[in-house]
Amino acid sequence: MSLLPHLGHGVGLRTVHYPQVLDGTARADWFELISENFMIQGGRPLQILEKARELAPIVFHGVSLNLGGIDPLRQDYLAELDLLIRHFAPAWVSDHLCWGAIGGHFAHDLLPLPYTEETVRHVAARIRHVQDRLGRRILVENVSSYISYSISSMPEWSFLSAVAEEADCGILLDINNIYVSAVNHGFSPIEYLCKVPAERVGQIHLAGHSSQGDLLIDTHDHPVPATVWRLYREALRKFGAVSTLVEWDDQIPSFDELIAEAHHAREIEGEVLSASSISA
Amino acid sequence: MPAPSLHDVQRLFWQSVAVRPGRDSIAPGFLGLVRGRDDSERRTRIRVYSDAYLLRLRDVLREDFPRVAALLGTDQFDQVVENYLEEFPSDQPSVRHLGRVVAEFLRHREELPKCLADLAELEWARIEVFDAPDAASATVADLISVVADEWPDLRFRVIPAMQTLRAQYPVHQLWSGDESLDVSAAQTSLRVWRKDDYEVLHAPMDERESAALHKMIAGETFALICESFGDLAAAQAAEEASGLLARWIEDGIICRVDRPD
Ligand SMILES: [Fe+2]
Repeated sequence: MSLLPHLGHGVGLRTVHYPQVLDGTARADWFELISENFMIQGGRPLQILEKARELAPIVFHGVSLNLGGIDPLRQDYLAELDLLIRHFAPAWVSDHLCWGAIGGHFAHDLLPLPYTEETVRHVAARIRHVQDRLGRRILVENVSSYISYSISSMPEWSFLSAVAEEADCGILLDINNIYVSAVNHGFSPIEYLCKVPAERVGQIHLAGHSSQGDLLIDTHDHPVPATVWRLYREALRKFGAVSTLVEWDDQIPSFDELIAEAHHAREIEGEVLSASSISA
Repeated sequence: MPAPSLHDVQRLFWQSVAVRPGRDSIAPGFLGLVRGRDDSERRTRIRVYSDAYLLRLRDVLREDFPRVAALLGTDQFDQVVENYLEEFPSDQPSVRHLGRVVAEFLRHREELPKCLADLAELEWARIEVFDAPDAASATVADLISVVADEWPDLRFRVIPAMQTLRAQYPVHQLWSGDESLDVSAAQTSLRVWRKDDYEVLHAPMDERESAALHKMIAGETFALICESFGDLAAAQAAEEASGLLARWIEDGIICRVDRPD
């Protein structure tokens, strides 16, 4: 999104790399941190966060806002998020276009929504509420999914676009999630990229996945595969340079290996953008 | 028939995936909402979510209660987790709080060794202390300038990252692996605290130390704290009390020394 800065090619910061943050060797263009991990009163994680933002710009990425849920938005959660934002001044804040709680109970998972007009209105209103409460635009991310609903009346890209337009929010486009869901549901990932409003895409996620029978599972436990790199190239051709982040949440490699993925993303961006400026 | 609402979809999803963890419990009516070649494929797809729900939360609990998990063994721990999640699904946005009532839950399971609940209480206290509010610890320097007649009226403030624990079993020995589940009961008092370098520690306390620490937490004066050693000869009591104070200071569990006005 033009209003957001281009932070370059960052990595998701996880506990295993806290020592490198402390000794200052965790060098990246930027870090993304899971908001909920820092909704605590004190201790080491907050110290790490202080240190991380001395090293590079940070962004908060939430997993429990429950934007698509039926339960009322948790005001205590929003208050904590607001405190974190005021204290740590992230470049932006994001969460997911999904639901994750009902009846006061949390799945701690990113659960798929039916793509209907009703859902568009419902989610967009909640995003607007969050944006009003936080006094800033947020980014919402497309999730991987393993089921789709017979009552859905539009493809995922239409749903994502409609929500973003109606809520006037940004989009965190997860290229791996597009690929995983495209395989699982048999849609075209290229068509997806073409139909998303480019001016709203403020961040890109890259990650690895694994397969289970006929399904791809968004496990974040592998390097970014060639299929996802190819789709990333398409995304760059479509959106131009967008702040890009590599996520790795399981079987996490050394910081050097993780950062090598971010460097690879930077190389690809360089190649694609110089090629398109030549052809232009 | 009207199309199911967003609420219906989520209610049926939750019933199918989270209400009976570890058991196939796909809600009637949910299968029809899911696209697929046939019911077998629909079930496979739904099961990705029910498996992920159980596995993710089980991993969280195993990480939060590593000693309980090790002593129970994989099969029994998994069973405990399934029952726990069924009774106490997560009710907070942060998964950090998932294990909040594990100790209480274990205490009501007649079939499990009684010491497990005590051990779980220790493991949970360590988590609470890990991310409790920060406070700079007092140092010996804070005591050096205290003159003799101020001592009896000194009061102390303990750091927020400190908890005390009473158990019916020597849980510190269970925690360290020096005892197994057939350990004999023995009244045990512990303190659990976080050092300035963020390391979390715990240590058993004898009756005198426990009494003295509880008086300190309650904001009593040093003179009253020393009464915890009243059964000893005066000289020895003074020596014990000041030794204890020095150790607490060194451990970093005191954050303020208040002198009398
Ligand atoms: Fe993502």
